[in-house]
Amino acid sequence: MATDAMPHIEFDQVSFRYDKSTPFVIQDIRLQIYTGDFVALIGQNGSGKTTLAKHVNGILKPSLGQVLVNGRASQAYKRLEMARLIGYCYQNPDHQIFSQTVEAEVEYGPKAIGYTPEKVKEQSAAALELVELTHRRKVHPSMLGRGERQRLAVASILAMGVSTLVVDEPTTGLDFVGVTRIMDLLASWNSRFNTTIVIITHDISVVADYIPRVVLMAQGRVLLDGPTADVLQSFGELKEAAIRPPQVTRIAHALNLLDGTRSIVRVPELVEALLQRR
Amino acid sequence: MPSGYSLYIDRPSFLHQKIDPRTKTFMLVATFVLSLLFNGPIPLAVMFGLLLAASRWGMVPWPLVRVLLMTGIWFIALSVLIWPWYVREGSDLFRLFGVWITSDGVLFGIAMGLRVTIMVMVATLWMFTTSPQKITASFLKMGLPYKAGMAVGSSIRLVPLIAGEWATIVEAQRSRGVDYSQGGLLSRAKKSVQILGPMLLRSIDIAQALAIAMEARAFGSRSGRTSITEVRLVSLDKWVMGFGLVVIGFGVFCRIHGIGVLLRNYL
Amino acid sequence: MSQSVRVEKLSFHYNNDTRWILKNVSFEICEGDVVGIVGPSGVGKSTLCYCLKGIIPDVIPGNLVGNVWIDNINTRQVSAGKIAEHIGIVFQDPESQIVGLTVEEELAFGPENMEEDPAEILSRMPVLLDLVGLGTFRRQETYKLSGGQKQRLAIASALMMHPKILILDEPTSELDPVGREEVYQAVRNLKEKGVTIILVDHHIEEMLDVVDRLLVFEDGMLVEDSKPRDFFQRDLTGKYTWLRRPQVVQVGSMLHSAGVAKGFMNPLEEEFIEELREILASGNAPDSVAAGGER
Ligand SMILES: Nc1ncnc2c1ncn2[C@@H]1O[C@H](COP(=O)(O)OP(=O)(O)OP(=O)(O)O)[C@@H](O)[C@H]1O
Ligand SMILES: Nc1ncnc2c1ncn2[C@@H]1O[C@H](COP(=O)(O)OP(=O)(O)OP(=O)(O)O)[C@@H](O)[C@H]1O
Ligand SMILES: [Mg+2]
Ligand SMILES: [Mg+2]
Repeated sequence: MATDAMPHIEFDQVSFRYDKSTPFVIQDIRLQIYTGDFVALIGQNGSGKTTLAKHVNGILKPSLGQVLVNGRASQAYKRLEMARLIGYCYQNPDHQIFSQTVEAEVEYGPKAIGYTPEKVKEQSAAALELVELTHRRKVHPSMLGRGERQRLAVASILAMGVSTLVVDEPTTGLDFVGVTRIMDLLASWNSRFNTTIVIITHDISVVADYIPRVVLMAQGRVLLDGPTADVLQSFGELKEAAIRPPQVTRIAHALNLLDGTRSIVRVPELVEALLQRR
Repeated sequence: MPSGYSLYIDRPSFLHQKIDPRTKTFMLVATFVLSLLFNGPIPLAVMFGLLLAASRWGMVPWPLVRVLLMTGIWFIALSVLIWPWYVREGSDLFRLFGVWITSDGVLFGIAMGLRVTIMVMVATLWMFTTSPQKITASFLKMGLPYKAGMAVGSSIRLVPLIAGEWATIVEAQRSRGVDYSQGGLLSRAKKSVQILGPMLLRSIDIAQALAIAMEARAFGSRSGRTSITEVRLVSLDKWVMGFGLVVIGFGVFCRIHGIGVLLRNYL
Repeated sequence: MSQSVRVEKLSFHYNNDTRWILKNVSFEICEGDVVGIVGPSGVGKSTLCYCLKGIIPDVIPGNLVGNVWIDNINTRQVSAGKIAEHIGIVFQDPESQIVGLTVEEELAFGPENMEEDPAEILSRMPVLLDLVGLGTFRRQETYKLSGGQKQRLAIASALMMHPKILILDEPTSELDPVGREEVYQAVRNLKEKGVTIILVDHHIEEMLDVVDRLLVFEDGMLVEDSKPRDFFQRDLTGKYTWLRRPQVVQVGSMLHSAGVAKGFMNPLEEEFIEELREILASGNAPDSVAAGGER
């Protein structure tokens, strides 16, 4: 975690409800995300992950408290300004896909934030290549399978080349190749360009393998926030949040390998512990 | 974010819960007929006022009522601009482009604007307080084919469905930098028009998905259908419908005797 | 035992695209069997589900060659609505399969179409809502549900119809891990009751101890039909690279290449742990070996 003086994104006691007559869906959220952070947001269905994520770039405005982006309230930003800063990928690809061809969809964002035509073409082509949809670029998005639409949604945010990404369950319904490609890409952007990334996922092994920091949510509140290995080995809190630890962690637990001296959340870590134990 | 597939929102209001959908449909038709029987501004204005009260009673949210009022003003303005060119009755007021504008022309314009507003308003009120599920159920009860009921129910859903789609696309575009509150009137209008195409095509997709989802759960597999939604005509419904009939009778009486009618030879 | 599903030389392409999606696919499923389907993204798994469900060719047009029988009914000969009385489905996309305005209406929709008694329909709801963890959401409007909640609702709605054959097309893709576990538990219960189940999922680990058979698709073709137990008990290096190896399989193959595990280890978690216990207890293999193996 980089430690600039000022957080890139800060939640200052944020609460939100969709309707005045209903209870708060997220409550009293305090969260600091610094430039270059790579954060996983995990938690039960309905725990408020999507709702929280939509606050990062101001799609939703807090009912109480405020969200600060580079020290400025999210409400104070103009749309274009915000879009140049933060890319947001929806949980359901159909909530964001509206163009007539795959290609037009990917080019929409870069165009809207005002890149030159050459740059639009270049970045869009690269993004399509990354999600392996180049050969489908002329077809209508409704002719894609769900997994392909998911990849298209991710590509159209990647093409915008922004320095902060909020991605809501980007690997849903993808096969191993698709998951690996997207996660490798996010990880490499994070390390090479210092891209700040907030990712929501239910895939706990993806979290363990790729993401250094985890925010665990339960019932609209942040239950834990810390290094991945610590959070994924907190059996009590995970249980409260309806999350199961990674399979290797469960196995290590069953074999009494978690003695506090090491963390076991990934495959090689378990293998190493087993080899040492013998 | 899609705002659901229907304008209908379940509320604990009298109109929502206590009155049968058939009664409401009857009153919808009665209001239409009544608004056609009168063409003077005063009775129509009274009806408009009653409808406004009914909207509050049916817990129609204020923003929607405001939109309706704005549309109403727009309708009235439009029809005041149009009718005086055609209506020759009444006393002359002033001359415009060589045509004498008459008092009846202006009044009739106001009345016609009110009439359209009333129709839009009562239809909205009906959609807002009657669940499509109940409409289907009541079709079933009346022995009409339930598919017809579903067709009516589904087409009622179409309007808000498109509105929901619109909202979804606008939100998606906003998060990629398009600002709808910026720029002049012309550029704003342009942005809106650009959504129309994709939105219509997506509505077709959604309609297709809805058809698949319905067939997948045995829709149309039998000639009949049961319903967990209970619709029952109680004595209150009979009173309301009786009242509707009386009012229509009164309307016909007034029409024949020219009460509340500004121009007899116009509808 | 009698056949629930029979697919015979099935090929298909959509009308607006001449690529063949399914190519000469044949298989049969016996009553009460649970069959897993895996394949890379875009291979045609969902398309196959549409064919089994009779949506292709009745609602979605395209070029269908060969035949599909569900409960001995040829899907070409009856409407999709009729076939729906024999076979239920949870579609992949949780959002577009919801037709009701409220959770309650949504649950009732199927049974209402089958002319079931309203009181009976209502009495079924609480159990199923609890099963999918939506007990408190009965009156909620469906568009206000989160992604995972919609998926949970879709599962409950399909079960409301008591299907004899059930297709689950990635039913847990947006569920939290505990929810996923619960759905698989529900699948086990249905299996016990003799429901025939066709299950598509990219996460093979949960599937392994539920399914009786695994059908593997590549490039529109059925390339393997195997017992789940045997599936990972062999050398898969370089094969099925699109398939995520369960963590136990990864650990197993690393232990294998480290010379610690002798054969292929059991991919089921509990049995895997037992095998590990034995290995730890015996402890006679070399200590430090470069742990490579495949992911
Ligand atoms: N538009 C809405 N109106 C009212 N309530 C909503 C709306 N959207 C979501 N909710 C409710 O708010 C809560 C949090 O929803 P949210 O979508 O943030 O959950 P989530 O953590 O992203 O869940 P999932 O893992 O299923 O995507 C849920 O209980 C949901 O029912
Ligand atoms: N309505 C359609 N019209 C034309 N082509 C389609 C249509 N639906 C799907 N396809 C294409 O058919 C192929 C198979 O799609 P399908 O959705 O069956 O794949 P899948 O195996 O279910 O993939 P996933 O793992 O992503 O769910 C894809 O290449 C897709 O682009
Ligand atoms: Mg969510
Ligand atoms: Mg699919």
